[in-house]
Amino acid sequence: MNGDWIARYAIQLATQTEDRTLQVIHILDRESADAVSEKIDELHELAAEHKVHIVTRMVPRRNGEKTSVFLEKTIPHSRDSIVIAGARSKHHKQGFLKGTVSEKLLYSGLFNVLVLRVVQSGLAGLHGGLVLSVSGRDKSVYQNNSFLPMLLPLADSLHLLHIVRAGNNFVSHRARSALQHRGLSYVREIQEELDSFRKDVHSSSLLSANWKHDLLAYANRWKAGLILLGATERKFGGSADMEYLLKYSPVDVAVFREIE
Amino acid sequence: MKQIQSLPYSEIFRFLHTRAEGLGNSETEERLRELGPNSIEIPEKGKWIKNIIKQFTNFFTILLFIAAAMCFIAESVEPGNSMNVLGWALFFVAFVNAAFSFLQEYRAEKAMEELKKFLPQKVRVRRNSVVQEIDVSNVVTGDILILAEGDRVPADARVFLSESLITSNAALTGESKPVFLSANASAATLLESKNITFAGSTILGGAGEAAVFATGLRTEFGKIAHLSQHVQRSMSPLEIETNRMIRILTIIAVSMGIFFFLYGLLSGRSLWMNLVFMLGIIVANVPEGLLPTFTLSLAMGSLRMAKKNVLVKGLNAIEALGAVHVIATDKTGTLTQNHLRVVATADFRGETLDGAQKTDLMNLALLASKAEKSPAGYSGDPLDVAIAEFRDESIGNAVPESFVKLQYFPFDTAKRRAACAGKTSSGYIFSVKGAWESLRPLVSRLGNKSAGEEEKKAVDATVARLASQGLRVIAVAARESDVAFSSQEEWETNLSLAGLIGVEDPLREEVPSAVQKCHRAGIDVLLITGDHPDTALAIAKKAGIVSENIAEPVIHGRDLEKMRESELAEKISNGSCVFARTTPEQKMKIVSALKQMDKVVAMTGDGVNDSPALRAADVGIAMGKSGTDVARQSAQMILLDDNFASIVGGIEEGRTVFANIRKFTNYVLVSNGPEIVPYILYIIFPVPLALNIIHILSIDLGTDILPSMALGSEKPDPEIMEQPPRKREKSALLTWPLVAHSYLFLGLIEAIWSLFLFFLVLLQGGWQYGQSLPQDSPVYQSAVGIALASILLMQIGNVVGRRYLSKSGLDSGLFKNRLMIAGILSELVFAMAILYFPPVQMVMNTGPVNLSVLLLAFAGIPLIFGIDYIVKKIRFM
Repeated sequence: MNGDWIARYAIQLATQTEDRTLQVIHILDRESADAVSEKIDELHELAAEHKVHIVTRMVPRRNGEKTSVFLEKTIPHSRDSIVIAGARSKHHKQGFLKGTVSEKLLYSGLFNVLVLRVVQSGLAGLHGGLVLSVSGRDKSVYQNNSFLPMLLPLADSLHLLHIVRAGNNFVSHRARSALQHRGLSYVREIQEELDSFRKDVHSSSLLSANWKHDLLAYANRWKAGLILLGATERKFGGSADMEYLLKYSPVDVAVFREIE
Repeated sequence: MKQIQSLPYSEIFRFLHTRAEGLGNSETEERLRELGPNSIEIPEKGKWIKNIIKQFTNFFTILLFIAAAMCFIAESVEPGNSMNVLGWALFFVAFVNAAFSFLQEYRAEKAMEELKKFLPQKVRVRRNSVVQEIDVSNVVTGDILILAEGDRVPADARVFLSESLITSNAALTGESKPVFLSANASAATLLESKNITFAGSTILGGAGEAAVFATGLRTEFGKIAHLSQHVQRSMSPLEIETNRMIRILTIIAVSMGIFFFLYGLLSGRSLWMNLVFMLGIIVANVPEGLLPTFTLSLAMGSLRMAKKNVLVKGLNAIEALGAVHVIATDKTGTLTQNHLRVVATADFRGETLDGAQKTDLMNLALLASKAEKSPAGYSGDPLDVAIAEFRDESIGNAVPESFVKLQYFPFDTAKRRAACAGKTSSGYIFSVKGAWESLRPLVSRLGNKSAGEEEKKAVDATVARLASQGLRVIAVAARESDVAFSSQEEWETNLSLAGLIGVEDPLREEVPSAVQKCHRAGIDVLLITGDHPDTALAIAKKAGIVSENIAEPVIHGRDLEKMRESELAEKISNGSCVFARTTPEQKMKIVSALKQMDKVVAMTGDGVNDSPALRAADVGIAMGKSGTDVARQSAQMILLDDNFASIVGGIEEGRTVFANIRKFTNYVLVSNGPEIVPYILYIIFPVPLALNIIHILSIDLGTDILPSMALGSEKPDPEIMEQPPRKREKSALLTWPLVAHSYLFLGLIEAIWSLFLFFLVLLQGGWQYGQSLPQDSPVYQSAVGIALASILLMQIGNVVGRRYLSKSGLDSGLFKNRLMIAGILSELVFAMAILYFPPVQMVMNTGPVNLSVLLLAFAGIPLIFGIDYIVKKIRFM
């Protein structure tokens, strides 16, 4: 089920590439090849509706070899390789990203990876606005990003959000205003770069004592269909915050990381 | 990419990985694990503990805890000096401060409890081909809901089987109009589709089945709930200023303490003595009673506002209301009486209808209405009630017997009309009433004549003219038929326009003067409504909200949707003040734009979907009568009479509160002067200590409280609403002039006079400079007594002087303030008790003085008052 939801996004993204081709890699586990084959057929049908060409690879699991290792060997190591993976929790000891194959791919540094957590199954892909949470660091992450050119045309609107961590009791109002203005200037510089893709870009800077709450509230407020943030955003609270985001988000979440 | 509402029946189950027979057990377990329970609440571990700990993180409280800890350490180092008693006293003070902070912030978070009431506890689903009742939290994506009349819908679901299924989406849209659901695929957006049923909605009739596609926070209702809980409420101006003031005073306290501690060490005094001294300096600098007095003053303000029909739920909101720059208000019920009245009936050219034409028009309008008559009068939709009442007044009688209602088509928000098919003695009749824009394409006749484009343009002009008078215009059209049709679409052909009805919701009488008062006070008023732009503009003009020379006063919701916040902010700066055809969600955008302009915003609301905007505004104001419980719980204030004019009364109170807070802050800080100077003298010169920490606490947490509260309850200055709202940068509670006035002027006078009397008594008792005195020496006790008593007496002169910035303070009203009298008396009584009442003498370690010294102490009152008054006169000459 989750694979289908991710696949819909992947097909949508493939429509934005030059060759409109999507490669689907499935590692056969205990499920029957017939059941998987049926799914793949449905995928082909859906792809055909969107004029996307699908190339499928079904590989039996090899004894002793980790899935992530196999995938790292199989997928070409290149900036042109864009990997779409899902974030899901298979058992209570595993997080949505932490400890998963998707996390290992994300941090492999061998190709560009986008990990998707889909919670709005009724929407099937990206519908609504896109909230891009920007980190306050190097703007080039957003200027030459592989994923933005694919996602932006699919979104109804783009909201750039910069969150600065600042509590209430210990930072003066003047200092808070200064931080907010600085954040707004930074995010508006990114907005100028993205204006070439679309004109209806909104920019905001927030001071927050709890960035994950405020990010989710912001996305909800602007009726976003997807929150997009870089994997390097873990500085605020580490993997616990990211897991919270993935678990409780009312909208879909995508975490990206590009190779250097 | 297809969405759930656009799928035909055959694809629904495949899309959601389910079956009409329902899910199996392993499937539901997997989905529960994947997407979590069907709950609109995010569990927060340790939420209450974190909230409580947060109250102890303001600088004053931390400082006092550190001071208390130092006392306990000092007691263990050198026991027998009752430092542990002092430690407990400071600990208690710190706790009291934190408790008052908690009280100020604490507001029972009941919004979530109210939201949960929209969801059922149990629901019927089909799983493994069996219909079973399950807990609502166990509903998952793919579950098959079995829906029947009276059910509350637990999750967002795609209807695939409908037997006249009717729902109400009031929880989402605020409108209680019934929505007819079908199983057909829809090309509309998710929210507008007629094949989707939403969490929180109620099944009004029929039966059906639906497949769940969103649960918990991912439902539309869940998103509102999430926003209601997690939208960041910004700090009120008072909170900002209080934090700033605490920071500054703490820096002063700690700096002085450390400086003189080091000085004492370097000058050879013992560690023990320096420690006591440092504690004294810190405690003397921290106005321990200030924060509790803030809270008490705000609480009293809230009682006064309740008498003005404004119920305050968050104490900081009182002062925030006083700092408001903009009020964004709803129209219906807040500016208007919410009592619709039909005031005009017109034909297509705008000529008033009478006689048979008027009768026909009103009969047809009544046919398309649903007002229930009872001995108490009509009830139902306000528009339908207005039509029925007007019909009765102008024509009399009940529904004509010749009409028999067959099928009623309730108001549809998308179609913007309501209709009814009826049977007459000669056949069938169909009547529809609604917005002219929605009927225009359906009307082809005017009576027996055909209605071409020219005639329709004449109607357009008439509608615009009536709307510009502030009327809501309802067009009524009808047709006759020999046969009965089953669908509304089949009826709605070849309609004949019967006429136009103008409906007024009159302005509340007090609104224009209240708006004028706002403008005089420099406060902008914005009108936000779902009404037609012309109607909204007319009402705004009548209310005085719009002035004549604004180029673009009205912003349509359709344009607002596409605007960036910066563009919106610019439009508001240029005078746009009416928002028409807006949705509750767009209120958030308006609040954000106003905050970008650095404005303090008050926002009104009454619906569930107003809840996020009410939280986002600086002051959220919910309607007491017509508001939902969710809105009331999300807001900080409730208008008990739903009246806009009450907001203005609240603003006046809020401004007064801030002015009064400034007064008692000034008052309280003055006593810091005579508390600090003895310690400085003590460390620099070989003289006895005039005041100990217990004495300081008896002033700061004892005798200063009542006079502070008296200042906090002073009546409003008559000119307070003639001044613009204070600018953020000029709204400091603690300014350098105020610090100088408190510490270096009045504080210094008190310090000099009290120390003069202290040393006078010592010298009269035979003390010599450099001589140390034991604590139990009668001379020392009397000297300490008069030092303390004289400070209390001079505070009487101080409190009277603080009543006004430029006037003496002896003006009328001094003795009308009962708290003022109580405060003055308490200081008098305690001053005398310190000197002459043995139990108090024992606790405070003080002693009596002779009459001449006592009279000198009393002379301190006119001394400080007189000097203060002379300086005021010079300043304001």
